[in-house]
Amino acid sequence: MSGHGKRVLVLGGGIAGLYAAKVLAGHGTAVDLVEKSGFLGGHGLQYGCKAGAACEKCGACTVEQILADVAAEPRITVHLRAELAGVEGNGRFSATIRQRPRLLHDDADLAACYKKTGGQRLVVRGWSPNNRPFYAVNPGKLSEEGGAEKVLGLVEQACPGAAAVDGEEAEKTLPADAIIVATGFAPFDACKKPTYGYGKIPNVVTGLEVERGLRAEGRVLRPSDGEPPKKAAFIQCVGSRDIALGNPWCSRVCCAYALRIAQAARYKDPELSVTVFYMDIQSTGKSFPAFYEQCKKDLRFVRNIPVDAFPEQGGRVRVAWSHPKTGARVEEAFDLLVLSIGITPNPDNAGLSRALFIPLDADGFFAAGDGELERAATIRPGVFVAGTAAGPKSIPASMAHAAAAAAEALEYLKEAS
Amino acid sequence: MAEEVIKLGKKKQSTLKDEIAKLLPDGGNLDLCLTCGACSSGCPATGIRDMDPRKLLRMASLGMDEELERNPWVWMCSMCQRCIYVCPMKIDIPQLVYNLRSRWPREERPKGILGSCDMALRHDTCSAMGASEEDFQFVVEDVLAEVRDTQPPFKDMEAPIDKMDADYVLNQNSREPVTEPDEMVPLWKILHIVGANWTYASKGWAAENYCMFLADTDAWKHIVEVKAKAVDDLNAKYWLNTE
Repeated sequence: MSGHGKRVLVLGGGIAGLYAAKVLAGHGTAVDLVEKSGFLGGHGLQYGCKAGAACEKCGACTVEQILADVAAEPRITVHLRAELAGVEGNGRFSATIRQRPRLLHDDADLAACYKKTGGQRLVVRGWSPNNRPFYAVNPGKLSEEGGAEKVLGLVEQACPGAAAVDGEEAEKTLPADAIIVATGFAPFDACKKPTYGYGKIPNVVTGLEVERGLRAEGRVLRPSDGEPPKKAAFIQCVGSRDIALGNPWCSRVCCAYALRIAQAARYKDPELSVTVFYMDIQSTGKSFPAFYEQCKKDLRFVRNIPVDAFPEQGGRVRVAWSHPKTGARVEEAFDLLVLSIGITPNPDNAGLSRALFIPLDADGFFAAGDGELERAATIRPGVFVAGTAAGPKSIPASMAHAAAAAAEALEYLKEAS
Repeated sequence: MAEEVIKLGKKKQSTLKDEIAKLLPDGGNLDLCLTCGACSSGCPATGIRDMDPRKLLRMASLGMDEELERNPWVWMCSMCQRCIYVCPMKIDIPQLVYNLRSRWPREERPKGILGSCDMALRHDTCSAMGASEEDFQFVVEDVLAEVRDTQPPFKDMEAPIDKMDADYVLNQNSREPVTEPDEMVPLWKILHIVGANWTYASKGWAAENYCMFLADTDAWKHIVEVKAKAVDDLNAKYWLNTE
């Protein structure tokens, strides 16, 4: 398999896009890696290490390593703050990329500005120092109406000369012999399950927020007072396996991340008690069943999904459920309530599907050409899909799918030449 | 391989579950249960008389009709429908409760609900408390007169009965005119302030429908028809029922 002299466009700079790019580059293929946000790494880079006494193989650190490899790989050209606008051609593609104005800044200047203006969130920090630049003007604020001028004005006011915009939004054309779609997922919006009070009760948080906290602080802390909880609860399947929401799928990652976070937190604080409300535990994957057996000893499992959360004094959250054996109503307060939110399709999928002429499946993820088998080839020759863009996956599963996408793309390039 | 064909027990002719499946779109989804228990967590009647919605549905799904026959828990349910609201699979447990209720001999159903339904059937007002057209008219006019006399901002407020061609026909729970007449006033005030063109109807004015809770389908239907006819007879555009 050789991709020498060929050029592949990879859409999305999360773990699937990064790994596909790395594999392709390793076979001598030039890669354009296009990422919508200001940083590479995607969701995977936001997750914290869940090791206790030993590594629990969650894969979070792998993202960091692959990111460093990609940053050091000369065959990969990274385009940040860029999106696919359209594709022409068949077999040999010509992709139009919409590039937001480049921001000129020195990382050290923005670092100083980040410290100075912290509360205003004018400047944000990436998730890994392997990701250069590490600091950026907040892309969320830049994309608001009239945002760029306003935000850059405020940055200039607070930290003169720290950042400047270079030119206008522009389109550029990239030639591509193949395309890999690795645009990832959207975390389930917990506000869509309103009875949990997410966004209203301070200590009701999502699994993703706990992951970010674990990465930043190395611990699980309560948002209300920054203290470690003494008593925490997880509610599983929030936004997954739910036809009322139109999300009938299992997200495949929530059981593993919830139990690993719980055990990592208990390793730091053995006094912490953790309750897991669940319907059934998907203990799939290598070594996970053994880990689950240990969890059964260390954690309290309640086979009942609560539906109500109420704020109590002291920042506690009261939860009600029906006792799995007696049926009786039980109420108990926790210091922290974690909603194990799942994986949903990226809202950009519909637009990308039209631009690329590749269909989505009934759930809104990209469909593989062979239907159920989760290969990477789509129905359009030369266009492949990798990672959670094609459906829920863990970090290792996303990497395996990305490697498959790269291999199928290389095979295609060989046949095409 | 076994020598002989193994015969499983004969499937029952028609179980409760089949009955509901025939009645509802998508069969009421009764087979989709993930047994997550969200219904039981959200149910105000959970745990009473050793029963909860999850257990009830499981028993019905397993064809345990006999065990569910005459289970008193079905009368603890308030028909609030919270179980279906929180269910990730949209399973219609309230319909299951309704069908179980309807299997009770009518005279053995709870006295309070039974009496209220029978009372409503006795009058064209559909009032479960037996309030007549004249009683209702007297109370409404009396309360209105007092508000108009004592509260100047509402001196022109109206609470019409049997006004033709109004936009809305409003029903009123019997409890207010009979026991808490002043409780009718806040809604009148809102309707007055927004300038709504509304009326009560002397026939079928009572909002409550205990025959539905009694699971007496024919009586339930009759009550709805009386109220709907009153709306049509007054040539109103909308029927407002707050129950």
